[in-house]
Amino acid sequence: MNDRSLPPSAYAVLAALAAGPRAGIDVLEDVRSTAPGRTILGPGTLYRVLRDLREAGLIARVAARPAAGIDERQSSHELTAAGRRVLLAETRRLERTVALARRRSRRVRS
Amino acid sequence: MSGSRAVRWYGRLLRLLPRSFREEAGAELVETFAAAHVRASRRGRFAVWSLWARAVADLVVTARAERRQREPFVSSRERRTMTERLRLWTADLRSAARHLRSKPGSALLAAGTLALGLAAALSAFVLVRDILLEPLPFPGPERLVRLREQNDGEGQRRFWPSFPTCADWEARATSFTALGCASIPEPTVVFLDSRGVMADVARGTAGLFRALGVQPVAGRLFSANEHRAGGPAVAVVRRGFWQNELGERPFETITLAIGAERVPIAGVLPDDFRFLGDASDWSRADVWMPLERETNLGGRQSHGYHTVGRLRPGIDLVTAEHEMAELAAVLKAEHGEPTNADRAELRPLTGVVLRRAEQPVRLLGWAAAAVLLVAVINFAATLFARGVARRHELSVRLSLGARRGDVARLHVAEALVLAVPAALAGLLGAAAAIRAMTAMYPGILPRFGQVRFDAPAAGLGILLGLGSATVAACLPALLLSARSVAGHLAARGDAGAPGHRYVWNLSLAAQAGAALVLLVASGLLVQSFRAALQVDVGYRADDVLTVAVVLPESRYPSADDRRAFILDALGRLEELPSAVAVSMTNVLPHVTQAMISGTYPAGDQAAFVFAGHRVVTPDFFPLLGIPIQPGAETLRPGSVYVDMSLGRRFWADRSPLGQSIGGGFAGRGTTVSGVVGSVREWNHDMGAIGTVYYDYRQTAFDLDSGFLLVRHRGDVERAEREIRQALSAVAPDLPIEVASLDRQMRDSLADRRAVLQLVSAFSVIGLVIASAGIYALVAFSVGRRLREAAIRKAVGAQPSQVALTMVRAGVGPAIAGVAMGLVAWIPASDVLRALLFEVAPFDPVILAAAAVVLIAASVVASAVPARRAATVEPVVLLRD
Repeated sequence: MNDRSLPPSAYAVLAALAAGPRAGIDVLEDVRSTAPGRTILGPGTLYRVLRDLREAGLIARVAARPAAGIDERQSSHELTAAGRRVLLAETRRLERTVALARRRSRRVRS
Repeated sequence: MSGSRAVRWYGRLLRLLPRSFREEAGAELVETFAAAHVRASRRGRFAVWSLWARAVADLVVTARAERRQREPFVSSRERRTMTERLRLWTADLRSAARHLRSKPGSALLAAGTLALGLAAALSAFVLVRDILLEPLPFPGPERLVRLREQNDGEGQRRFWPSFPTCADWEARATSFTALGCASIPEPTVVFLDSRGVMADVARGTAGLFRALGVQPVAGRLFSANEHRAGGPAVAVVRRGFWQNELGERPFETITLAIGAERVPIAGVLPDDFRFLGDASDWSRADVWMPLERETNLGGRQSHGYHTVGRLRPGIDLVTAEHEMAELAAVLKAEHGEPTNADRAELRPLTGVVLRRAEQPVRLLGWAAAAVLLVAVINFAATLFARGVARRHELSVRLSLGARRGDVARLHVAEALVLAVPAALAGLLGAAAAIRAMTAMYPGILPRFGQVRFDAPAAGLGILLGLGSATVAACLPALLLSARSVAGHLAARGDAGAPGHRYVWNLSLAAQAGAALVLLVASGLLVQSFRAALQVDVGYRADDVLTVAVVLPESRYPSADDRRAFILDALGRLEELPSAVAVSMTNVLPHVTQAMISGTYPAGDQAAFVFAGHRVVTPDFFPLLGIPIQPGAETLRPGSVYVDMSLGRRFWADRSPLGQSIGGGFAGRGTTVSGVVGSVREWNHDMGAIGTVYYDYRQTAFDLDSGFLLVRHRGDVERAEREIRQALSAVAPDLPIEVASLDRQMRDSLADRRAVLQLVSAFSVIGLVIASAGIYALVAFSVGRRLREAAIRKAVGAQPSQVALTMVRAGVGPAIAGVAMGLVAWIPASDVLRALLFEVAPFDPVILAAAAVVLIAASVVASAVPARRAATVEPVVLLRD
């Protein structure tokens, strides 16, 4: 996975986990509210992305977190150090792309 | 759905996924889904539905992705390019065609049955589209409503509006952008130069033409000056009438003589301009004139005008009905006359026009759907059987690395190779069927003449053909590509793969069930038709000729002239050698709908019912064999006969003789001097309607149209010739229409007969397809069980026993199908109920007969191939 560019769905999942460990259902809802998340339809597709990210060492499973309001059996996922690096790198790359696109479109307009 | 049930269902859906993935991830997926379901149900039902939709899509996508990732061969993991796919498809189509050529018999049978099913479905589709769905030929037809007066009294009876009421509505109602009324088209003799032509003449108000939005194809419609009381005479004519009857002369130069008036033509109307006619059918007038200029349009209780309005945008039926009720109250207070209009009943014009067509066309649609169902099941079963025969080849393909999809594609390719010619044949069949139907049954249903097989219908046919083929191919594709490779190769099963037997047992049963439903429907219609023919109509129509007489005012200006003509004609007809009896009537006996008025026992106007009023000569009763009850006196001026049903209705057990009756021509009260048998309209389920009879000779009736009746002896043609000669001597320039009464009565059953024949045709097609299906599958199964048959015979079984075993394979499922069909008939009978006449939808005799026919067909269809099994030579077969 490292040698390829990050698919939008994987990026969205990493972004969803940036704030801290989360259960699958929360990742799902988070991702679905951002546009690229449309590639993640439901539990099955989410599972595959999580599995790929885990195999690439970008996220890890954490033990169940007995917090209020969340089913105790729900296992959570968190970013590894590598995952955080990839997320930051990808975010910077996207920012550069966006900035470039802005500059160019302004030039075209003027 | 409760949370735990939803989770259970989701768990079942997980079977869509490959097993290894399911075992690895299943628990986690269920967990996530359960949590999502809890949240969604908090947000409401929509959120839950959308969750389900996403979850199913998600599983499908995941299953595909996982499968692709786990394919055993490197080559198949890469996605195929378009050209590669195209190449594979061509190869498969070729292989399918080759395979079909090797067994052309069953291929032809399958394609033929599919073509039949498609033809039936397509022709029914065209009927439904062109009769029921096609909008009326007016701009914005959905805003057109038909209005009737509604009475708040007992029964809330509804009436065609009277002219004064309609005129008030036209002037005052605000819910409509336009509203107007029209008279029923009347057959009239119209003179062009000195040649008389029969034409249907209708009259309409200014609002009518505006509401319908009709535009003349040439010339103009009427001006405001022509649409007023006492305005000048003017007419517009229908294009076809102008072309055929008026010689297409420049219409500005034509002046017609209609009645006593000379009428110039202002314009030409399109041929498809139609409006409501007698009995609210969809009729077409040849000549239209302004209505307002007529004198003698009747008072507030002379109901006889079809009224139509165009709803203002933003106003719905309820709002408009509300306004009309208020308006009716205001009008009633203002004019202070007796009226039946306490409010107005509004109905969409489309519904009014299609009322008579809806039930039969819908029935045809369902019948065709059943035929298509039988055909598709049959097709699927045939494909399945062919697939089973290729099982060995397919196993080899699978073991050599073919994917499940590759094998499925083979099945779809085979289905397509069969379906394309079938679809084309179905198209041709449907086009021919539509042509035949419109030629055989012209005008039986509203808009039947407008039914066309066109390009969109052909497109639909092709789609339907390919669609049915794909659906049918799913069965073998799913069942035959999933089997394990080793299983296939190990079991060179001869016994027709027991695991598959349920598939064709089920398909045979389903075909038999659908065919049974069709058979029952057509059986019931046949019985209804026979019942309708056997109805005792109360008179004898055989050997009776009718002569339609229309007396134009221009030739017979006064009432005395018209009377003299009719009496003269009667006298001359009586002298004919072939005439047994002669009479006349204003309305023929099988047409009770015309000349109906409110009729009541004198002094009790509130107890009125609608009854027919007939002007006849006393010979009318013996001529038609209508019995006269004992005690009757001869008809005198100021006395009438009533029929038994009306007498019973008004005076129950008392004798009607000497009672007084009011309404219609009877005015406020006329003495009843005789009671006669009731006459019943043939094609009418409402039974006999009461009738009051008047003597034409004794009273001063002024009839300008009517019918002369002649009961003749001997040859019909000679009688007709004599009648024509006698009448043309009296009136050389009048068109004379002679027809047999018997024939006219039979024609009144034409729509019933047409529906009966069409549904019967569908049920015969269904039966043929189902029998062909049974034959093909039993033949196939016998082919696969020949070894078994040979072994049985070798160990001493009689040929008859062997045959019986094989026959059972076909008849057993057919019997199960009959049972399924009977159950399916319970809901299906609803479609037919309204079309039945004096027969119950669950008539045991007809149900039993249909079951027997179907089982007999299955016995015959199985016996033919079973003979092959019985005559097999064990030595020959076992040696191979």
